[in-house]
Amino acid sequence: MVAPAKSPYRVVGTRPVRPDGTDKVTGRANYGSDIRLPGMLFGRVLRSPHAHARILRIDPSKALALPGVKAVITHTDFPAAEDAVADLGETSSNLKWLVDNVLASDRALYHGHAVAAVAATDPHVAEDALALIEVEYEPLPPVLSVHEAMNEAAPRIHPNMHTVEMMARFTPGPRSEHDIPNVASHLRMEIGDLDAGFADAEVVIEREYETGTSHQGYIEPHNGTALWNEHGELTVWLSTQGPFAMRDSLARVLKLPVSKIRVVPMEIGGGFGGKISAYMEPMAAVLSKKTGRPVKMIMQRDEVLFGTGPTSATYVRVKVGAKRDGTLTAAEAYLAYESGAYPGSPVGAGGMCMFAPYRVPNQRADCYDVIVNKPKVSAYRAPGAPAAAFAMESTLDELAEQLDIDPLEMRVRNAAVDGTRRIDGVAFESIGNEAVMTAAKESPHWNSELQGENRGRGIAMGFWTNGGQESSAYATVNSDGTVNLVIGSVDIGGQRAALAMQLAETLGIDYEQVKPLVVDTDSIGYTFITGGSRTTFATGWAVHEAGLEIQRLLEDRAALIWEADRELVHYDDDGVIRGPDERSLSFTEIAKQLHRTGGTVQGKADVTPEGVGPTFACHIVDVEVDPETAKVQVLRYTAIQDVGTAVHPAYVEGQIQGGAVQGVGMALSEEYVYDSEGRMRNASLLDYRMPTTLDVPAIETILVEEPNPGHPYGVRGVGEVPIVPPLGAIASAIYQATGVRPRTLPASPRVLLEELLPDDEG
Amino acid sequence: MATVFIPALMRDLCGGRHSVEVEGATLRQVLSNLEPECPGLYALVVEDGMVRLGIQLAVNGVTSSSGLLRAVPEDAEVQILPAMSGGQRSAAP
Amino acid sequence: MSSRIIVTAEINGEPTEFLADERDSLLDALRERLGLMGSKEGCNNGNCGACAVLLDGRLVNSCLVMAAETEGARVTSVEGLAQQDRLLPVQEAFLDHAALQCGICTPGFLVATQALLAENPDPTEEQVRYWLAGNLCRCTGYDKIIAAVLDAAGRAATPAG
Repeated sequence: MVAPAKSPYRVVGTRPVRPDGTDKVTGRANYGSDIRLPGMLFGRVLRSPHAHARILRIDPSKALALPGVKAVITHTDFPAAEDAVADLGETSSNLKWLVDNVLASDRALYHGHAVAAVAATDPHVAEDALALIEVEYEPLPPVLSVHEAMNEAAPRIHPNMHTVEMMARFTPGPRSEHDIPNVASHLRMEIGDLDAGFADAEVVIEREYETGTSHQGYIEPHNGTALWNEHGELTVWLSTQGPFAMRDSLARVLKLPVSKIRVVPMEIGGGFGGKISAYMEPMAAVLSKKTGRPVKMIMQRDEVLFGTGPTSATYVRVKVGAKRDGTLTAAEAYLAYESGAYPGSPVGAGGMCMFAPYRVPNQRADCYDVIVNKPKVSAYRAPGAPAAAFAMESTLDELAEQLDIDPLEMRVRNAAVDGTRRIDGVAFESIGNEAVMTAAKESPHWNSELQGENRGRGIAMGFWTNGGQESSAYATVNSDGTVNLVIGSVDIGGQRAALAMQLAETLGIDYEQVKPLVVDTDSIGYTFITGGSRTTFATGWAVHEAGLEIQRLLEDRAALIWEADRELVHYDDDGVIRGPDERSLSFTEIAKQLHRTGGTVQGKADVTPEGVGPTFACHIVDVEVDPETAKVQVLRYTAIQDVGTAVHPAYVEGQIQGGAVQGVGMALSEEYVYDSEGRMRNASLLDYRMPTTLDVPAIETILVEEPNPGHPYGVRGVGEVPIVPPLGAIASAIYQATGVRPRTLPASPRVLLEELLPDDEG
Repeated sequence: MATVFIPALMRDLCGGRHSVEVEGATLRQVLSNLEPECPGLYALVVEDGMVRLGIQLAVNGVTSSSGLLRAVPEDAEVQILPAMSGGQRSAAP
Repeated sequence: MSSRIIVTAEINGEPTEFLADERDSLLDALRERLGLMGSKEGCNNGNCGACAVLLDGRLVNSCLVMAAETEGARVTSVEGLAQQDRLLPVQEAFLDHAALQCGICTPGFLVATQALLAENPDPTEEQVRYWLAGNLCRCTGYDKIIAAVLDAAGRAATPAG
């Protein structure tokens, strides 16, 4: 680990046991699906077997006649459905899309699209009832790839939708020259002079790449339990990354004021961006309203795969120009990402990130958000960036080979540094990009020799940036010298620990003295999602500010106790308050006196921090490709990342290791398989093949700690960028091993074998 | 003076310029002062007195939710960016 | 309506009688009939291992066992691992190594590890990886889980004074 010579911190940088740990190793922790309420009903969802079909008729009468069935709902049971029929402009069409994605209205737009839902007294009865709901469909031709969708002959999935030129002076319209079939939006980002840049180049290469649809793959299926009481108040218990985001979605779909909704976040079994959007929660709410009883809904695994948002399948074309010495002069990309049935792919983020590790004076990216008959995509760890980076990193690798430059040296020569402008015009400040490349160069892995047949080594960079947004926290001092820390950020992987550590650091007390508690939306100020690599950063800010307020209040109190001049009383880093005449009180000592000297002390903070820190990662991978089966085995893996200050290094390493392995899955084995009718054919965890213990080696991590000057403890977001480099690194390693450069991922044995075998066998 | 970077497909409103220098202590002032230089740009960025959905403004590379009220330091860079941020809902719905 | 069956089994050391639906899996029975929510449902078809329990000492996915089949059997779920407020070495090791992030797969990994160590108290890394290949974890990349299991094996071999 490359760490500062001497850490300035007492608690930050240590590796304590997480506060929720014991509950999670004993089975006591309550996840969303573990809740049980008196009189609870069980809900299930009927889903479309067609990728694209008109819904002519839904008849629930037979289902309702089954003993134990209490209610069946369809799209018309949502209050927002009425308004959403009219096209009232951008906001209302977004509302229509949101509602339609929860429950289909006139058409089912993907295999797995929810069509109706049922509530019954028993889960088995609910399941039986699904088969009794009669739905008459008129199948329509499905549109299944960006290439098909953008063709003039393609059916328009949303007939009234026209291409929006983002950040542009053009307005959308049916006759606009900018209107492309099934393209929801186009975004162009550009800096410099592209033509001049390519004119300046001595070598130019242009290549095409594709990636398949992959899923976040959290082990816990979506769940939600709703109770709509007699006063019109709705409470929802669930596993979510964003209790407040869910409250907002429920308010929009159900047309309720937010004050009528309480969202209670339970423990969450993974999310990676996929547990933000509303799916069953509004259905559970309406079923509860209809029945007057609490309704619990849990997805089956196949529903998770074909009924929730995976990430986009993508097509990326990239053109890069360089001087003979390797200096990059121009880079251009065309990116078309599937958004699924409704607009909103992360294609813009792909375009923004792909060239970011490099100093390229002239850049352009054209980003197309493309509607297809597949599930509406949702966020997945660094959304959009892995596919785009795969294209750029592979092309750069090829360019380095043509110019006979070592691939890491090629990257070092072009590394973005402080002051380098990204494609969106923003100039970098205080970035650790070069430090990451240097650490890669010095790493044991890069300096080891790779021996053996059919083996190859690849390297790739990745870029992402963390989010700021709103966070709230408050902390109360207990008379026994502990502090109750209350937060609205869901703990998805050690956040309680990382936040308690920052408060302990601020107050100069032990980690064990801080008791963190995650609460519902009625009990704390608006807190944005646990996602976007923001929680340790932004909620960490809030926690720190709350700690500073406690410091000030305790100084006030000590001055009062000592009858001393307030100005002469100081809260020191070691958690001791010192005043005139060498008086002092430790945190624990003053805590004991609070009740008899004026009462409890509480610090609170609501923050929207700026100062987000860009993050860079470099991954090195060795693979072996079986020449008979084309199965790729990962032999060794090292991930180097600028993590800012690592608050809890073990969880930082864990984020990197987990992200890297998800990237390995994207590169080698994970992919939605559709038949020609648009039906997903591998909706199980056997056939949708995520890496197991046998598919990956130990993931070595090297933490480069370049503190973020925009945070009191130098925190950068760490969670997302580790999924960005694996695709490019593995593709290059496969090329080194076989001489075949994969341009379509995943490089499954089926795909790779076709490339590896001589033509007459292939 | 703040330097406003103009998105690629808005540049012909500004005579093809990639960036324009204008005075202003807040983002609202900066954008208002930009209007004579780039007629029509204000309405593309601001709707009902707020930054349009789908757009975010960065001051020295940093975005925030303070909207048009945000202070713009002397010699700051202002970028008009598409609204997207990590791990989060990348766009509507 | 399907019929109900009375099942008598030893659940986590307690003789237990419960009423199960004939279609209940052991996982359904543990969770819905007995309120033992520690075993998790990740896939309901034996692919993820989150519901792993010991059935007469043998490692099984409880979603693939019918509740009615457990008549007369001994079942140990994650709730039955810790003994009288003392965590097992493997539970301690998972905490010390940060071998869980979201924690949903953890009960299955702990039960599976316990079964491994009962059979092979001193496994190699390769043996651990083979044994745990039926348990999916999406957060950790497995690295810290493997380290925790190897550490737990060592701790069990040298009991604390």
